Amino acid sequence: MKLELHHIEKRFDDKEVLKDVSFTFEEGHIYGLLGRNGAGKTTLFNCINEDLKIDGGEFFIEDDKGKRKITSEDIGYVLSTPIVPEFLTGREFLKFFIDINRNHMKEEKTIDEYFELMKIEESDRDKLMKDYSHGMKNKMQLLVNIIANPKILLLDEPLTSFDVVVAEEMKGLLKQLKHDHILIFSTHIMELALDLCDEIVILNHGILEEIDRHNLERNELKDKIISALKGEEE
Amino acid sequence: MITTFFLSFRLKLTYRKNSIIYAFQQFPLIGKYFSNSLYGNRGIEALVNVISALIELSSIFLGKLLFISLMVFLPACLYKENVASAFLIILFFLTIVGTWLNTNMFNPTKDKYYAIVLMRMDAKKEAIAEYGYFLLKMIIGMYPFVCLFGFLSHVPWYLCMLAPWMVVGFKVLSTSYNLYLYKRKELIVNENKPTPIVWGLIILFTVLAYIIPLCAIPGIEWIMLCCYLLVIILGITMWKYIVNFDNYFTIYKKLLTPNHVILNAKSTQQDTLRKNALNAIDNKNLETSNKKGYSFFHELFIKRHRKILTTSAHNITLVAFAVTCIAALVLVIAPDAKKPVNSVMMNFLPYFLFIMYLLNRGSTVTQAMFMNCDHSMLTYRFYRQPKTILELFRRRIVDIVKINLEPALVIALALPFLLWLSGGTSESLNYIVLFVSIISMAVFFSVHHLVIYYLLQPYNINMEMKSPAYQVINWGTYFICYYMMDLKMPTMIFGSVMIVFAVTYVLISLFLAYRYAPKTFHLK
Repeated sequence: MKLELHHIEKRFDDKEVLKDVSFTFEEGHIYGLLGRNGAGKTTLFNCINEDLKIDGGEFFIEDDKGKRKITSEDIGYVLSTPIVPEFLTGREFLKFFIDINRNHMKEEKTIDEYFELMKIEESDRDKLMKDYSHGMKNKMQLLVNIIANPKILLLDEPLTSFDVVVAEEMKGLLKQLKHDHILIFSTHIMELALDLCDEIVILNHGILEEIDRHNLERNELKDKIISALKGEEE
Repeated sequence: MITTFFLSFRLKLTYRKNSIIYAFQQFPLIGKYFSNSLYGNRGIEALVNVISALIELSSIFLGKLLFISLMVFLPACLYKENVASAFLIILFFLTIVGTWLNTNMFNPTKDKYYAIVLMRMDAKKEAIAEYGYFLLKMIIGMYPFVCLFGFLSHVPWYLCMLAPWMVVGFKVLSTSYNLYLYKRKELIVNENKPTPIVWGLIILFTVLAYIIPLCAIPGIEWIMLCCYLLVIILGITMWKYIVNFDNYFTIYKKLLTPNHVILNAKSTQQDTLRKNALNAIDNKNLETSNKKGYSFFHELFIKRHRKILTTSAHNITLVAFAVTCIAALVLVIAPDAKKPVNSVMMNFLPYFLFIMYLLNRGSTVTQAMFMNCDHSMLTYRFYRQPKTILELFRRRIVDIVKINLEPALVIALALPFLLWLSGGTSESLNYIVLFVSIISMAVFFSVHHLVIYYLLQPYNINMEMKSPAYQVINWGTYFICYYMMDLKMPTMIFGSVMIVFAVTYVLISLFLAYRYAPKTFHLK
């Protein structure tokens, strides 16, 4: 399965945030989306998730059956600021999510098994989410997106609010997930992108380009990324 | 000290200028003509400095004019026998009240926040310079009005001349006491958040200010002269304490926090809305639900928000029932009341439109729906599916109508009952029209709020209101209902029109919601 973007354009008033974004994301990879502040990473995610209407271009999924439009089951989006319905407890939110996604879940686990997966303490499972910390809400948001088992997972700075131990666990989890998914991971932290991602993609001046990391040492790769982010020619 | 004062004054001018330009940029149509380059424009700076100077001048005189004329002089004129002594007593006691309500030193303003916290200016110099300027403005601003209104009230000239100094003396006394309080007990006074005891004292002294003049006190002018002199002498003595006090930095570090300083009115308003919405969630006795999927989700929303939904509706129902019983009792005990009550029932049905508007839970509920539920859920794609949107819309509309029908039923039964009790009417159709029109009002408002919310979903992900149309419709609804109170129309006519209107509106709006909500119900 592939996610193909063709000449995506998006502007806000006079500002052209995405000029001509074309790229093909493939199953089985974690893509690290890097870009400077305000480069349009979140805008790109919002466009793919259809939160924002694009001004030009098209995007679609290509699989065994050919090209098709993205449906809500295909895509999961973990926002940088996690937002969860705060009137529910963690357990109730999961129950609701499982109820409505049961049809396209690969294998259903018990709610407590899901909590275990995210290392959410027993004492927190039946608390209203309005009393959850930022990190806990982030875990819940990541968890429900994993449960729904979408083919494409957009992750906008998802690990920044986790402590180092949880962040390591989450990295492991994402690596397990990548086999039959497309994971696109936006971050400001280059080390994280280099550790976790198979491919590095840079969004600069409204254009998306892949960094070829073939035969490059880590430091050489870093220099190459910095040059690309600064917009310098090779 | 002088340098500090001018530095902080220039800082104030700069952000005042920026706020004025920013305010213009926010205007819907003309905003785009105010570009960011204006912030650095010298000409604009000069113009805004002139405006700021005018604002400063008005701050010196306007408040004092209003205070002396409306709160001291006018009430004193009511005590016809002794206007002068009333003037003196009211001014004296209200000045004491002012020591709590207008301290300046303990008011966590933006000016202080920018100067002390952000610009790291010397807290002591800034505090004293700012406070000295405040006292100076107090004296200059008070003189003309104390003299003018004092003269009109026949207050002796020497008391008029001393009055502004007495006011300043009281300020200095209370400020030095508050500083002493911090030194001894680390208690920090916040002018904007008086404690319950301080509120009690404020009320007590305000009441005393207007009650004491009722008693004729012999030699009041001499008593006042002694009090004035005592306060002034003590004030001068205590000024030294303020100047020598050294802990301004620690006081302001605790006082100038985001909790106390209103830096951005818009975000403060949003925070308040958000906080209120979160408080509406009931976190005691977490009742759960045996249902599944969206039924489960919706039922829990209703259960967890019972404070603003069912409990609130029960309370309104009880009050409506109690009012009905009292009205019935009055009609039985005092037959004279029958005629006016009968006339209300026969001609004042439009009045009840406003009452039903106020009692309807629709706007509160849709706000909580967004803040606590849809705000987060609309970020999930599955929740934006047309099927899901319409399924939840259907469940919500049924429940909102049910909740609003509870008090509406009591009122709808009460009106025909009171009409009958107050002598009745020869046209029995009036009873039915009263009943049905109240029910139709309740259904109308329930549907109206929810449909408008679904069709114009006005908020963005940051919970900012982004739809002028939504606000215009809400204000429009309010004003129409409000002005309906002036309308006197036979119940039969207004009721029939209301019923037909409500039925038509509900049908059309439900049609529009089912047709368009799947497209319009998303984050702005």
